[in-house]
Amino acid sequence: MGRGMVLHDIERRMLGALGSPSDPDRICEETGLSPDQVRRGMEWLRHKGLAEISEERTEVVSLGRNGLEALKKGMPERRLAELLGAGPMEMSRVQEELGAAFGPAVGRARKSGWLSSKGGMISLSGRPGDIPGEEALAAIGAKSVPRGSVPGIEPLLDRPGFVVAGHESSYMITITDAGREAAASRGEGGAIDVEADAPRVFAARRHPLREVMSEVREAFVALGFEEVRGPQVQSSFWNFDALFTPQDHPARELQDTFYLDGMGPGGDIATAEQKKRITTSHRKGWRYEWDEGESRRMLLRTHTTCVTVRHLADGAGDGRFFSLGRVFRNEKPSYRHLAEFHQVEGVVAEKDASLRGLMGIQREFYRRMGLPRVRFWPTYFPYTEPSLQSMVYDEGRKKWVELFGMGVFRPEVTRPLGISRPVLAWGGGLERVAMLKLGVDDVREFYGNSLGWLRCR
Amino acid sequence: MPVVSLSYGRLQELTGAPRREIEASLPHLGLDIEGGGDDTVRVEYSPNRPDYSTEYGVALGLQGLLGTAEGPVPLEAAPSGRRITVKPAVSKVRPFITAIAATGGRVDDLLLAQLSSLREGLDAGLGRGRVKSYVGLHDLRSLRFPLMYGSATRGHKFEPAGGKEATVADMLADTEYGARYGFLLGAGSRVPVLLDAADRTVSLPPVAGSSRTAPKAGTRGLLAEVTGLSKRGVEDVLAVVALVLASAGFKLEAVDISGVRNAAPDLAPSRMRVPAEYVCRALGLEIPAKQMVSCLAKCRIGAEASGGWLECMIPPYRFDILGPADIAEEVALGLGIGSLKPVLAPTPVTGRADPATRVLRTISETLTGLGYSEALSPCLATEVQLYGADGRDASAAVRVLEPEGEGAVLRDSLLPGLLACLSSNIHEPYPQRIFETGTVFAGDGHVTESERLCCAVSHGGASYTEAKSVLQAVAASLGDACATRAASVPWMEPGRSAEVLVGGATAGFIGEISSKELARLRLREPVAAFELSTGGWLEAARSAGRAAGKAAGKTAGKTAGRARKAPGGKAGGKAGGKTGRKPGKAAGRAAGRRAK
Repeated sequence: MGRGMVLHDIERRMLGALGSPSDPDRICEETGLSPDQVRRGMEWLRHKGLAEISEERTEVVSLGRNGLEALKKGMPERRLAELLGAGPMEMSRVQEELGAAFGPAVGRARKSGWLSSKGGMISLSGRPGDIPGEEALAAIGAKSVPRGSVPGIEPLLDRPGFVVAGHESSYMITITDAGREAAASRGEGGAIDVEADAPRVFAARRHPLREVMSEVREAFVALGFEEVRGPQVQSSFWNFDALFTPQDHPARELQDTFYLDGMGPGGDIATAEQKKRITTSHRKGWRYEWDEGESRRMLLRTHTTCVTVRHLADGAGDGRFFSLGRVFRNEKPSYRHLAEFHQVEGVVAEKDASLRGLMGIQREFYRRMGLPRVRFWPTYFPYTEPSLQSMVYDEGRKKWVELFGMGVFRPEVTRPLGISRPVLAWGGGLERVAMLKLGVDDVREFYGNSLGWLRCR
Repeated sequence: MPVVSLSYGRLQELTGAPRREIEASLPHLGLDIEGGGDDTVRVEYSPNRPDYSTEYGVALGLQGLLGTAEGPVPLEAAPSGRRITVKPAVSKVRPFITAIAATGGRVDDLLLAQLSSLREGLDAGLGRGRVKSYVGLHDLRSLRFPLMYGSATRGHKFEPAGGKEATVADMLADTEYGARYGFLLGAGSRVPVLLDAADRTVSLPPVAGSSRTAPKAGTRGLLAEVTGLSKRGVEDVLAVVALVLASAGFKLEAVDISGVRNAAPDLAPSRMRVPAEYVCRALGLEIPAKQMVSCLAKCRIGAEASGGWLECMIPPYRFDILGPADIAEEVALGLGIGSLKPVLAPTPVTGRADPATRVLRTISETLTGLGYSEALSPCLATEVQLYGADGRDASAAVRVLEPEGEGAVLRDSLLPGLLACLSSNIHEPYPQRIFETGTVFAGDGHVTESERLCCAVSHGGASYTEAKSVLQAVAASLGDACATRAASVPWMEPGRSAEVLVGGATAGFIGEISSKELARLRLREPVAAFELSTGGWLEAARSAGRAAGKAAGKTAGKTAGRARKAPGGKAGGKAGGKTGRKPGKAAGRAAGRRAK
């Protein structure tokens, strides 16, 4: 039988270690195989008749819930005796001190005759002495031990939840004659089991979201956009005020926006001219008194538009700009929404910028991302007019999905920034695009850091 | 955005259009369909169009798009001889009131439900939670004119709609709406009230209306009044209510308002002149002004074309129309977004990614080559995750206010995120090798952000030496070198941890995770890790990119951004993320020179 038998590497290494009958732990140690590999090898060897496996079952005991509590705090009667050592106590106080242990403690103490009660007070009427099972409790401790090895365990077995019985198996592996032959024939033919599964290895990967980011960047660059970046912590001024969002707008409230505790802007939030122009625009458009204190509150940006708008405000001039970065919304995460995600955003400041041109850029961007079917709907955004919502067709799920929003910045946004040209803006969540491309249904998967997903997908 | 439920049956009744057409047209009004039942549809409407919170308002919009009724809805208010006198006492708390009477119609349960949805929408949206405006609706026959808008003491008694008779003070203290809106009355001893000529309470704005005057099914005339903080604000709101009442078949009658800065409501449309050419440019479309006029009519806006101009008449309830951009959008909606074809003009400029992207790519290529997979963790984490390790000091932690989720603190280091990743993956095969690049935050009155790289390796033989090999490989791939100097680092085993020096300055830390920390995180295999500031390298690449951009600008036609490999900069950031040194300025300058 030995000749022609093909052995897996695991089997060969195990046979080599079976000079004398061994348990799995020793084989692990000797061969360097993992417990899991040894377990599999045992099955294979037994199946091929190369080794015999004997199993020995041992009855074991370990402590249950009440037993573990008694181990930590003492047996209920012991705790009662210690409590009353200082003198008689009110029944209700003792009950409070002992909690669930009160009933068993009083019952057993009465039975043993060292407790007396009178008028709601209880006191010791004798010395408790040894409590049955106390030593056995300590002997078991937090381990599983063979049942026969604990003397004086009987009183514990009577008490509910003190001892849990079970069994443990131990195995011995003994090589058979066929096994010895197979081990000896090793190398003769040099043949191996070419059909067996090989151990699994993992290729290291970039994060799937980073791959999508690279693709987005490429699409932007091809369309003539230059990347701009800015901090994730922003003042309310740039995140909201500069985008014509009034200071009493619901989007600015705590349940939508992460404000930072006790942090200031660490200097001026904007130039005096920028502040003056933007506050005038608010007063005229929204009719309220602008408060500088409110606009100095620091927050985690709710969109990247604050970055692109600031870039424009600081004199970028005409051009096409994009930003790609983390944004934050104070929401409870769900399969659809995260409190932190990435936003993709583009702006176009050009002489001939128009709504149809914006739709064209948008459609081309989607085409480059592998999403060729696009539709547009009217919608409302506070800082763009006209505003559109785009939908793309998800080939995988056979349905239309809402994707990026877009529009032309309101003159109330651009004029105070010193820009007279129309500025087109569009953007949305990167994760949405990634979910479509990767077929992910739960957005939390991107940040779950499950190695099974990171290494294998 | 607010959501409202509409009945298809009612919309069919009001528009005379078949359901199929209504269904197809709703999205063209900017209404997002959220769901619905057999006869109902739930739509999300924009806060700038509160008229769409009722079937009447939506029906007016649909009629325009479907062509059954076009042009503005006339809102005419005949004089009624009714009057509200405003006392100076309200000028400090809630100075403005406006009102209109509606007669000749009949209130039924359907209309009551629509009006209540409208009121809620207006109070919450435009009213900003009743701060800026509050709508009251009353049975006209229960009132004796003239009404008086003045003040009363907190001992003033009346029976609020849906409640029991009580003093104002008790109402504010004992009821849910009192607790919610009472603060809007300020702390003064007197509160604003609306009383009728028989001294009976009509309303305690913005808290509650009177039960005696509340409209019921069968009511034949209504008084709609709006109180608030600005004259324009209350009139905008009243115009929406007036539109719905007029659509429901009521005749509108003006109520005179007298008193400080108040006046009878003006429901006349306002004029706006827009150059037709502006609309063409904004949409990227050549269409004649006449066609724009018919598009606007479909959106229920009156307009005439004259000499290259659009003379628009904006109805008072379309206060969302502030200027030419809004007119351009209305033209697009009237035309139908579907008939606007996307155009792609040739790209006039060359694009460019952030030059630092190349540095990050080099780092990730090096690390994936060494078998490290990339992880991505949130910036916000729990305090235990970030500061649970021995020797970590949370006193400078940057916290967010009232988070809805678990994360409440901004990370000051990437390592806790990677350790959490290893800790949640102990069932996965070893060795495990992961890395992350990202932003960390430090707070000292204001927040400083810096960029980091963190690497962790875990398996039976993971050691300081293995981590240092990887660290050296990363630095070498960026054309730089690094050194390590013994130091104690939180998370790490004393004697097996060090600080990392790049260009002689502290740039991070490295070591084996201590057995105590492994136990805390329930990690069963040894872990070695390093964290390194990358800001110096990233900034150097950016300034080289800027310099290359300028050079390319001077010699037009040459391709920009030649410098492939970023010269190493001095990276900042002390172990544990307590302090941060500015990333190497000198390196950046040097890089700039080289690129020229």
